[in-house]
Amino acid sequence: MTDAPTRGRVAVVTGASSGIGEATTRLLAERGWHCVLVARREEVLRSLAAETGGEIEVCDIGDRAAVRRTTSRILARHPSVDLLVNSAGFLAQGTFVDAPLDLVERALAVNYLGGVWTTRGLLDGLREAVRARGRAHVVTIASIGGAIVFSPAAPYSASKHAQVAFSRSLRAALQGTGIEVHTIMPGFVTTPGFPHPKVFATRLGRRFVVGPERVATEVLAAVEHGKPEVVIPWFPYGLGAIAQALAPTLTTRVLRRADYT
Amino acid sequence: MTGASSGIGEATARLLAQRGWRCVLLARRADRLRLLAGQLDGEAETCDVGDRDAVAAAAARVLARHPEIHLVVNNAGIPARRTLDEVDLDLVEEVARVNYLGGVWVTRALLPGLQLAAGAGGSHVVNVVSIAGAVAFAPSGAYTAAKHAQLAFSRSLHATLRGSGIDVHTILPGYVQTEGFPQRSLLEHRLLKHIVAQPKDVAEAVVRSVERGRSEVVVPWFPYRPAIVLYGIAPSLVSRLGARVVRTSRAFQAKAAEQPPGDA
Repeated sequence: MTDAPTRGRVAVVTGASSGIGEATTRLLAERGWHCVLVARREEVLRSLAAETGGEIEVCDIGDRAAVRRTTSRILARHPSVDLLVNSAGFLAQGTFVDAPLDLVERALAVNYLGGVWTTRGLLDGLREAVRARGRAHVVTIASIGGAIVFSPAAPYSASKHAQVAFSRSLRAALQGTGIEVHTIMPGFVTTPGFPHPKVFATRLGRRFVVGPERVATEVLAAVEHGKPEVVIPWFPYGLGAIAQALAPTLTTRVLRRADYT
Repeated sequence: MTGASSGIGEATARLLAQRGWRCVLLARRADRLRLLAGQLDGEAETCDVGDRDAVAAAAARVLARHPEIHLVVNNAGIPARRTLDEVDLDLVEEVARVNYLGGVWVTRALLPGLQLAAGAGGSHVVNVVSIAGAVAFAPSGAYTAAKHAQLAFSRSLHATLRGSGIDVHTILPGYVQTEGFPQRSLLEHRLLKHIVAQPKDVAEAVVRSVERGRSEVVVPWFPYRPAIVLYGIAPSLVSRLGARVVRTSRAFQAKAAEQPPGDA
């Protein structure tokens, strides 16, 4: 893998200020991509942009008008966008019995709708990249919680289910256009803002938790090798998705016990 | 019963009324709702379930009349038959509000009534989802995403309320011929017409799930239940089939557009 084929290519990363978004930005920059960092926290973005030689856009992904303004500014500077990484997202804990309804709405706006708005806002740039270089990519950082129902963080899991369906059906809709869509489904990742249920503090549980750098590596691998979907790590989470399809009620009931307290 | 003015909602309300249930019908179309309520000796509440304040107000009125609620059927839903690269963004939000959030709001607002009835013998929530909630269907991108969220809502609510006396049931219909979701092209197909169900089939599944305590019912079981399992194991394979449907329907639309009007 050399730097040459990616040098100067434009990547837009949302949720770039921390966690998976930050790790992905660092890795892309190392490989020669020019990154546009999108997130809410200006100072954090500024220092990361200075380190990685990228640009920043301060934007709340859960705000449709803000996303529209941001994506038009990006397209004005970069008519061709080679890669979009939809990484902005937050954990909305609680059940559908006790979670505040505002949180339920906010989770849907940030974790699902924000990705739709960003992708649609940059679609012309992605099409331009296809014309210029034959290919463009959209990477959706979903979660295995989008394929397995996780009731201790129910509003999160529901929003991630919508996001997975968005990513998978967008891939099908764009097949043959040169824009490739990749769905990344991490299990538990050690990132700020995402605490783990206590079961992951056990010796066995720790083996199922990965760092954001691992996810970033898989994002690049998915883009480079054209992988439609990646579950990280596949064991045990990939098996969980199959269990959900075969025995949905039982699977959800078992996972209900993995609470955060 | 939400979305009670037509389709699955209307059929379910009729069946429940036949079985002696007193039905409170919620939907947007006041005239049709009142007509049906009159026929079923039920009550009508005009309400857009996609409007959180309207849901809270309607639920408060219902609870004032009926402190105990034995059954909530979240059935209201609207289609969005476009792919996600083309669909109108206002519709993306509306379909998410009506098909997913509306069910959350209705359930939460009526929860005190369900809890009261749970203490006195048990109560039920039925979510009428769709097979598109379990299998991503690209030609209706925003619809399938909203239904995925709704399915996760229904399944996690089931797990959360287990043991509380409130039973949650998930209904996953395949293609159903209704006014809101016409299936003309499928019904014209020699083989595919067999995978289209009628609203009364789903209504029967709703009643069965409540009476027999079934947590999930796929209507009809074949071919949809095997499709869910296949999708869980090999989602990319099923998505590729979806891509083929998109290409075929685009080619079909392009051909139709070339034909002079009236020639269809």
